[in-house]
Amino acid sequence: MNDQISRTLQSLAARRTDRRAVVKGAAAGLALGAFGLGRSASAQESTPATDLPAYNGEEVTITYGYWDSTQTPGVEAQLAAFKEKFPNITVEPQITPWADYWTKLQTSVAGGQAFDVFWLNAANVPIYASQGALLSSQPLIDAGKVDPANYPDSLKALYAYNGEQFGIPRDFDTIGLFYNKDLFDKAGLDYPTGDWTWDDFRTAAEALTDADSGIWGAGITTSLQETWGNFIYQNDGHFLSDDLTTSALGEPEAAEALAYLANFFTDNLTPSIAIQQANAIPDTLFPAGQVALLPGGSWRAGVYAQADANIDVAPLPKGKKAATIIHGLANVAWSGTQQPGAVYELLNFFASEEAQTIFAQSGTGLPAFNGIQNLWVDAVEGLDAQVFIDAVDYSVGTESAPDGGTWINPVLEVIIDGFSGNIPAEEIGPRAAEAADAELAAS
Amino acid sequence: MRSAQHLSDHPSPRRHRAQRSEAIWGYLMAAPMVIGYAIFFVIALGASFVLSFTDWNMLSNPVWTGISNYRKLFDDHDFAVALRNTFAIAIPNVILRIVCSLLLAMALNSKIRFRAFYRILFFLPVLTMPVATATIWKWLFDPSFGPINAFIRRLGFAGPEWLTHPGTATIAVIVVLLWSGVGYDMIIFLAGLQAIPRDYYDATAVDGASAFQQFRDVTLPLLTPTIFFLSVIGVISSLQVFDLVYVMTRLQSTNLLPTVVFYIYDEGFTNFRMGYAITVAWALLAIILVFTIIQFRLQRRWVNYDL
Amino acid sequence: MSTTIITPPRRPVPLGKRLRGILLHVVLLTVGIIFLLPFLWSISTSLKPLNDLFQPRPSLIPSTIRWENYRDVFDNVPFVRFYLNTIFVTIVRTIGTVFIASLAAFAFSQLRFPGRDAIFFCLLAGLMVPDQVLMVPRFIIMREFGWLDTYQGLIVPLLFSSFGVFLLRQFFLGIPKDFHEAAKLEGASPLRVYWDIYLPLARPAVASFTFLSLLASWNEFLWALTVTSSNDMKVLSVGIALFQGQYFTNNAILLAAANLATFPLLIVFLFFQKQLVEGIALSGLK
Repeated sequence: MNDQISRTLQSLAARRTDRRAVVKGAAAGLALGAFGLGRSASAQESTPATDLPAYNGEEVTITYGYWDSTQTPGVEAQLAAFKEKFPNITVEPQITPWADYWTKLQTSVAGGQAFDVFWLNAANVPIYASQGALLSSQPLIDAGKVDPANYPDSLKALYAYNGEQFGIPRDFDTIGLFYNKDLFDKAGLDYPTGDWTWDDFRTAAEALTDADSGIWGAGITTSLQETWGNFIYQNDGHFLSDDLTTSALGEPEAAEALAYLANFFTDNLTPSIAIQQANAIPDTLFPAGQVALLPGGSWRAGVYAQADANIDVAPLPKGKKAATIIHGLANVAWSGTQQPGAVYELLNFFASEEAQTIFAQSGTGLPAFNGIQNLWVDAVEGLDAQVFIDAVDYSVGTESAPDGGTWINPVLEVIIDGFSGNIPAEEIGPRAAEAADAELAAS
Repeated sequence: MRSAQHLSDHPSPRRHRAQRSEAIWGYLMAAPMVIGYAIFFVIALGASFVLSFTDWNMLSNPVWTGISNYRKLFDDHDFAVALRNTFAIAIPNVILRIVCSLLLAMALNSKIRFRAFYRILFFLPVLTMPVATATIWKWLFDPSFGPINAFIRRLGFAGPEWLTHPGTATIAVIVVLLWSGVGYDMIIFLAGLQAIPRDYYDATAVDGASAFQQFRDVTLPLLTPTIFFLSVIGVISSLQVFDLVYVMTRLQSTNLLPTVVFYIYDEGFTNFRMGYAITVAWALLAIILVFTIIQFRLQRRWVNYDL
Repeated sequence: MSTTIITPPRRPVPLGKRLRGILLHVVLLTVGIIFLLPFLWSISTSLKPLNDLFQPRPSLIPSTIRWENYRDVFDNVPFVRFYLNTIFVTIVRTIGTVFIASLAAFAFSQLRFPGRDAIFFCLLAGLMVPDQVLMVPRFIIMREFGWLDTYQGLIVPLLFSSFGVFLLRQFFLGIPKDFHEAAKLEGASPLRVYWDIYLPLARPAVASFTFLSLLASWNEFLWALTVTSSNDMKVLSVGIALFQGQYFTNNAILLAAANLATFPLLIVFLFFQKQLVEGIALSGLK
C-alpha cells in the first residue's frame, strides 16, 4: 500500500546541526521533560549496544504489539512455543487495528509507554531507528545467536539503518502480475509468461479491452508499491538522486515509465481515476472479472484464490530489466523497554527457524526465513504463488530520503492529475520531480 | 446571557450572607465539571500550546523553534486549501442542517401517524456505521455506475465526476453530512419544542391565531435558545469536519478534499510533524473562537429565553 | 345502567387537510428511503458470501444468505468481552456525565458567583480543539496516574462534557425564573432546587442529553484506542476496527459485527424517543 512506502521515505535526518536549536531543545526538553514528554529517560540515541543484556530467569511480563487479527492464531502458536522455553516470561499479545496502529504507536512512544516488542514495516524503520525509538537487534547477530544468512539480502537491508540491523524480518511481499484466465480464454490469448515485456503487456491490454462489455484490459492504479514504482525501476529509473537530495523522477527513465502508464488511461485500457475512486480495482473490479490484468502484491493471492473468477499470477513484465518492489515487516523492540533481557530472548526466538515454521504453517503470511516459503506457496491453492518467491531475486527496496519522505504526497497528486488526463503524459515525470524537489528543499 | 436582578442595590449583612452562600453553592456545583475539565483539558491544552512552538516528530524530544511554525502558517498553501475547503463545507452545512432539522422536528412533533417510525428512520444515519455510509454514498455518486449520474444522463446532461473534483466533491460532501447529521439535530429540536409550554398555544388559539401565526409568534421565538445552541455547536463542529469527508474523498493515501482537521492529522501522524500540526490546531481554535464570540455577542439581539 | 362512555360524533376530516397529510407522508417517505438505504445495505451485506463483496455495484440482495458471518465475528477476537466492556463503560460514563454537566449547567445558569460567565466560556474552548491534539498529553497524564489500560482511564477523562453544560444551560435559562424564586422563598437549597424543580422541568433536554451521551460513549473510538492496549480492555468500537485488515477487509463480517454492536442502540432509541416526546406540559405555577 502506498502508505507503507510513503513511510519508507519519511526518515528525519539525525543531521540537524543547528546548535541553537539543540540548546533550545535541551531547555524545552527540560521543561517538557518535567511533564514527561518525549522518550523515557532510559534510552537516548540508538547506542550500538554491543553487550547483549541477559535475561536472569525472573518472572516478567512483556507486551507484543501487532495489527492483523487474521494472524492471531499464528502469533499465539508462536508465543505458546516460546512459553515452553521460557516459562517465566509472559508475553501479552496486544492487537491494534491496522489503520490506527501507527497513531497508537507514535502516541505510545511519545507518551513514554509503548509495546516492548512490536511489528514495524520496512517503511517506518528509518525514522524510528534514527530517532532512537528502537533497540538495536545487532547484538543478537554479533553474539552469534541470529544468523543473517537465513534471510534474503534485499529484505535484511530494509531493516538496517546506518549499518546496524534493527529488526529481524518476519514476512515479506513482492509484486506480481495477476490475470483473469477466463478473460484470456475468451479472447483466445496466451497467458502471460515470465518473458513478457512492456510491449507484450500493452498489446494484451489492448486485445482484452472490450468497452461494450465493460471490460478493461489492465488495472493501473496510483499505488507506488503495486504499480508505478515497479515500472520506474524496470526502466532503470530511480525516485531520488544518488545523494538522496533531489528527485530523479524527471529523468528520462522515470518519465518514460510514467508516460507509458499514463497512456493506458488515454487509450481507455484501464478504468479512469474517477471510477477507481469509487471502486478500487484490486478490491472490486478485478476479482469481479471486469479487469483482465493487474499488477498486485503477494498479499492478495490468498483472497484471489477464493474468488469465483479464475485468477492466476505471472511475473511482472520486464522493461529494460526485471524489477519488483520488496517490502515487509519485522519484529523490533522499543528502546524504552524495562525488560531488555526478556525482549532479546523473544526476538531471538522469533528469528529462529522454529518460530518461522510455525508462522508459515499458519498460512497467514509469507515468511522471510529462507527455505520455508514453500509452506506459504502450498497454502495458496489455485495460484502460481511461487512467482512471488522467485521475484525476490530481482527485487528492489525503495530508496528513503533523509529529510522526510513527505515528497511522496505532492508526487501522488501530480500522478493522479496526469492519469486523469490533465497533464500530457511525457510531462508527468518532470512535473512530479518539480513537486518533489519543492518538498525536499523545504524539509 | 441574562443575569437576574432580583436583589436591590442596597447591600445589607443578610443579603451579603445570602449572596456568599449562593456563590459557594455555585462553585460547589460547578466544581466537578471545572476541576475535571481543568485536569483533562486545560493542562492538556497548555502542553499542546507549548508544543506548538516546537518541531516534534513524537519519537524523540521536541526541538524548540520559537514562532517559526506560526510564521510558516501564512505561507502554507496546503493549509490555505484545507481552510478554504473547510469553509466551503461548513457554511452551507450549518445553515442547511438547522433549517432541515427544524422542519423535520416540526413535522415529527405534530400528531401525524407513524411519527415514531419516522423519527427512527431519520435518526438511522446517526447509528449507521461509517463504512456503510461511505459505500452507499460513493455508489450513489459513482460517475459511471451510480443512480445520480444515471438520472442526470437521462435528462440529457453529462454527469460530473463527483468525488474527484473539489467543487462537486464539496457539494457531495455537504449532502452526505446533511444526511448524517439532521437526525441528531432533530433530537435537540424535539426537546426544544417539548419545552414550550402548551399554554402559550392554547392562549393564542383562543385568540384565533392560525398555525403559521402560532409558529411565528410562539414557536420560533421560544426556539431561539435551541437555534442558538445548534448554530454555535454547528459552527464549532463543522469547522472540524474530518472523518466522513476523508472516507468519501480519499484516493490511496491522498485526500482529494482535505479539510483542516485532516491536515492536522496528516501533518502530525503521517508526516511526523506534530509540532506544526498543533500550531495549525491552535490557528483553527482561534478562528472558531472568533466565530463563537461573535455569535455570543449577537445573541442579545435575537435570542429570547422567555416570552 | 350501561357505563359506556359517550363520545362526540366524529367530524369528517376536511379534504384539504387530508391531502396535506398524505402529501407530507409522501415527502417524508421519499426522503426517508435515502435514510433507510445504507442501513438496509449494511444488514444485507452482513449476510453475503465473499464473492458478493467483489461486485462494484452494491446490491441489496445477497446471492446466498450466509448466516455464518455472524458466527465468524467471534473467531479471532474476544467480541463478547468487548461488548461487556462497552456496556459497563457506557453506563458509568453516561450517568457520571449527565450529573456532572447538569450540576454545572444549573450553577452557570441560576446561581451567581464571581467569574461565572468567564469560566463558562472557557469550558466552550474544549469543544474547539480536535482530540488528536490532546491525545499525547492525556496519555501522559494517564501514565502518571497509573491509569493506562484500566477502566478508570477509559471512564474518568470523558466525564466532562462542555457540550452538555452548554446544552443544559440553554434549557435551564429557558425555565421561568419564578420557579426558582418560589423555591428560594421556601428556603430550599440550590441542590434541592436543582433536583426537585429544574431537572424534572428540563426533562426533554436531560433525556436528550442522556441519550446522546450514551450514543457518543458507545461509539467513542479515539480515546479508547489511545488509553487501552490489552485485548481484555478493548471496547466495541476498537474491536470492530480489528475486522479491517491491513490488506483485505471482509465487509460482510465487519458489518455483521457492526450490526451486533448497533442493535442495542436501536432498542434504546426506541425507548428514548418515547420519553422525549411524552414531555411535561408546564401548566403555570402552583
